[in-house]
Amino acid sequence: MMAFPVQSPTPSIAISEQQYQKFCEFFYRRTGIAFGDNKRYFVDKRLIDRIHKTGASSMEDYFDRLRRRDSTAEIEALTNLLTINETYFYREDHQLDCLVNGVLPELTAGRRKGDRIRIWSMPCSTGEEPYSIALYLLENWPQVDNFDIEIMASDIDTNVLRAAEDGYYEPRSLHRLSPELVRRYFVTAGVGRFRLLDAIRQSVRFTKVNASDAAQMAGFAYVDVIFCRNMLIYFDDVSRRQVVESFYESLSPGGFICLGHSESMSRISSLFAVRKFPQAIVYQKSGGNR
Amino acid sequence: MPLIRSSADATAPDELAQRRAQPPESEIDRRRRAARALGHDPAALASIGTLLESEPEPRVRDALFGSMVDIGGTAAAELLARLLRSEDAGLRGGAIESLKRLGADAVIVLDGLLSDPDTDVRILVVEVTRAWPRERAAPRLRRVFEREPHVNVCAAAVDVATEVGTEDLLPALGALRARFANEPFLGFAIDVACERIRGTGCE
Amino acid sequence: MNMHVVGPETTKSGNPVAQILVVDDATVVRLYYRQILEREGYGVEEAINGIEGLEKAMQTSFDLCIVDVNMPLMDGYAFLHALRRQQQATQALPALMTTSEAGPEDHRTALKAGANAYLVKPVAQNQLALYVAAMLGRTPA
Repeated sequence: MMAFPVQSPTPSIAISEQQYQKFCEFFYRRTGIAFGDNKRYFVDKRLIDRIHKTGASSMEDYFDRLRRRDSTAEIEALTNLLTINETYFYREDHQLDCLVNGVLPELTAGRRKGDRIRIWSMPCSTGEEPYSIALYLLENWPQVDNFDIEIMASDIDTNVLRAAEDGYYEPRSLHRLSPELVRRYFVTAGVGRFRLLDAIRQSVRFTKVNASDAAQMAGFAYVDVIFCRNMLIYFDDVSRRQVVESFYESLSPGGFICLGHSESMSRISSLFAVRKFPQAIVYQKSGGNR
Repeated sequence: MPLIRSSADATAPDELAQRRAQPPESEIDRRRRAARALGHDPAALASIGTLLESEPEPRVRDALFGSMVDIGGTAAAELLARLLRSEDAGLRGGAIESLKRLGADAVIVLDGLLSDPDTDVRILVVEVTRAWPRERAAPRLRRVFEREPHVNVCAAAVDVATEVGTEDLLPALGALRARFANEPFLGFAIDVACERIRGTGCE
Repeated sequence: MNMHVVGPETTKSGNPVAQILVVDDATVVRLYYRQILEREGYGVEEAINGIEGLEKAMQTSFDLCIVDVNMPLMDGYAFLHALRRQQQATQALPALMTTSEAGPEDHRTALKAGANAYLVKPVAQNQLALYVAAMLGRTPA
C-alpha cells in the first residue's frame, strides 16, 4: 500500500487592493488592456488560479515570477485566462466592415480589373476567420468579382488546420450568421453539424506556419491585408516585435494589418502608421499610393 | 467567386505580371532592409552607430536599433548610451528601449551614467532599470534615493520602484521624502511606491 | 498662492465637464494628474506612449491632451506631429506638453511641434488645474 505524504493545507491566497493595482499596471503596460476596480473578482480569481498552479507562495512571489525574463509561458497562460478566446464566424465583424468599406476601396483605387488582392489570416485557427472574410466579401463587396482575391490562412497547429480544411462547424460557431447566410453557404452534415460549401472551402489556401520562424514568414510576400487577431497578445516582447517585423516585410507598400480589437501596436512596434476608419483602427505600411 | 491559385508555381506568368504590377519598394524600405541586414555583422557596430546619428526616418532607425541589439554586447551598450545625450527625442527613446533589451550587457555603462552631470541622461538611465530583475534594479534605485540631487531623477526612480521595489527600499524612500519635503508630487509618488511595495495600505 | 478652480461636484458617476487625455509613460504621473483632474470634475483617459495616445484620440472626442516628451515607440513631439496631420478633430485638440527639460529651446520645440502650452516637471497641482482650465476656456474661482 502506498503511503501518501501528508501535505499541509494550501494557504488561502489573498490579493490586496495595492497588489491588484500593481498587477493591473504591469498588465496594462504589457498589453494595453486596463482592468478597472469592477474587474476585481474576475482578475483575482484567475490570478489565484495561476498562483496555485505555479506553486507560488503568494501574490508577491507570483508577481516576481511574471517579471522575470523566462516567464513567457506563464504570461501566456495568464493572458489566456484573462482574455476571451472563442472563435466564431463574423467575430468582430466591424473589422470586416472596415475591410470592405475602408481598406479595399483605398487599396483598389489604383488597380485594374483582374488584379490580385492577397489577404492573409494568421493565425486562422479552425478557419472561422478566413472563411468569414470570404463570406463577407461575397455578401458585402460589390467589387468582389472584379479582382482576383486570394485568401491565405496559416496556423502553427496542424490539427486546427485540418479541421479548417474539412470545414465542419457547430451552431456555436455560426451564431452570428443569419439563418439566410447559413442556408446559403452551409449544408447540414449530421446532427448539430454544418459543413461549409466546397466552393468556399476551396477559396482559402491553408498552410502551416510558425509566426516566430522568420524564414517561414519570409515566404509570404506582396500581401495586401493581414488579419492577426488575438495572437500577438500571448507573445513576449522579443517575439512579438519579430513577428510584427515579419508582417511588415510580407506586406506590399500601402498594405494593412488588423489586430484584435483589444490589441495595439503601441506595445509592440512603431513600424506601422495608425489609420482610423469609421469602423475600426487599422495599421498601414506607408508607401504605395499613400 | 474568389478565385484560387490552381498551382503554387511562383513563376507562373500571371504571378510575374502581378509582381510587376506591385508598387515598387519605397526608398525607406530599401534602407530599412539594408539596416536590418547589418545585424548579422558584429563588425558593423560602429557603422550602425554612425548611421543612427544621421538617419531621420523612424522606420530605418528602428531597423538600426534592432541590428544593434542583435549584435549586442557591452560595445553596443556604449554606443547606445551615447545616444542618450541626443537632442532628438526619438533617438533617446530608441536608445532606452534598446538598452533595456541588452539586459546585463548594459549594466556597467549605465552604472557609470547614474552620476552623469546631465540630469536628463540620469533620468533616462533610471528608466532602463525598469526592465531589470529586482535584485539588480533595487540597489541602483537605492543609490538614487540616497544621493540624487535632482527631484525629477528621484521621481523617475520612485516610478520604477512602484513596479520593482522591495521592502528594503522603504527606509530609503522615507528618507527621500524628508529630503524633498517641499515637493508634493514626489511625496505623492513615494506614497504610491510604498503602498505597492508593502502590498497593503500605508499606515 | 493656492488657487483652486471651481467646478461642479465631482463624482465619478457625474457628467464630466471635459474629457482629458493624459499621455505619459510614468505610472505615478498619470495617477497624480488623474487625481487632480478628477477632483476638478474632468474625465480622464490614459495612454503610455504616442501610439496609444493617437489611437485613443482617434476614438474619443477629447477636449484637451496632456502629453509628455520622453516615451517609448512614439515620443511626445512625434505624437503631436501625427495628431496635427489627421484630417479630423484631433487637428485642433488643445495640447499641454510637459517635460523634465527646462531650456528655452525646449519651449520653442514644443510649440513648433504643435503644443499650445508647455509646463516643466514636476508640475504643481494648482499649476496643472489653472493651465487646464485656461486652455478649456473655463474661469478659475
